[in-house]
Amino acid sequence: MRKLSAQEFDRIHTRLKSLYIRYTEVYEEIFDHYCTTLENVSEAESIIVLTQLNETFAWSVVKGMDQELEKNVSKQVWVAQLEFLKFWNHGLKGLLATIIGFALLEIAIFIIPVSELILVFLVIILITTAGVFFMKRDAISFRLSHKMVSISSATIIKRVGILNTIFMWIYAMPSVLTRGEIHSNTLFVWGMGIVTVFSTLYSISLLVIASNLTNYRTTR
Amino acid sequence: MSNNNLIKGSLQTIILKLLEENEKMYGYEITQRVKELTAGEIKITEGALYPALHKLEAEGLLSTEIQQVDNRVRKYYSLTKDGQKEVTSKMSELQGFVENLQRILTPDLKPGFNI
Repeated sequence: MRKLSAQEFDRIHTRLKSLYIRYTEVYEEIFDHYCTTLENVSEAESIIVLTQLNETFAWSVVKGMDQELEKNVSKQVWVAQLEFLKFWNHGLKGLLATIIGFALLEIAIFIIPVSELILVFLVIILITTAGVFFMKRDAISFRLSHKMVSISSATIIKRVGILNTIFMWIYAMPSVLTRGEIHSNTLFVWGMGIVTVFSTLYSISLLVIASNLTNYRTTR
Repeated sequence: MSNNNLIKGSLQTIILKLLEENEKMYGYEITQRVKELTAGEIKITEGALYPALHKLEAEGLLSTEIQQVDNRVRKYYSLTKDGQKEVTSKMSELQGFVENLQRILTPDLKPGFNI
């Protein structure tokens, strides 16, 4: 087994960058495959083997790998999230946290005037969302150029984004249609309270699971 | 030898079996081991191997470990407890299929024949 030259590393990186790989995990795995393959052939054979590797990891193959990883991680996170949300599986700690959460919600509903409670819920949702987006900001890009991201961060951002879009519609539509009158409706406020608890739990579960997934994937 | 379609259906079993015999393996190592065991007759395409590994990982049959190797990271795959159980069932499923296939291809073969 030989050591690769800087020029060979450059060639591999150039090739992989031209494929616009979406996820860091796929890039790293293909990069290691290229390096290991080339390390096991002589320098004279290097160019031919590199061409063969480029054919093996063609555009369609790499895009397929990106999509498959996305599908598999999404499934993995979803299963783990459902497990996480089963508070009774977390023992006494989980049970206490759930009881405290619902107790706080009930106290808030009795203490704060109904019309103002909606604002409290909105603030909780916005803070949670902002926190999630800040913690997983590596998956956010405002540049037009390609940016490779971690699959776990991308999964969280996507899910929290979808959840909050749905939440905003649930809040905004009745508010617009009733010109804000619904804010003093106790039933609507209760509904919003439950949505808030669910949304916060969902965001927290995503953060915990995806963080575990990231740690797990990057144990060195 | 062009046998990609034949391998496709048994790729997961091949991976699980190799990982049962080796504590942990990475993608390149798996392709080379298959090539070595079959004297180059079977070549696993990387485009099929990596998605299969990721699928097995998502199903909880494989666990992964990332190690720093020189200036890059290497992802090792190993069997989980569920994966260890699955190897036996997948192997007997494949062996049963091969036996039945053999009966179709050579009808004169005695029913109790084992590959």
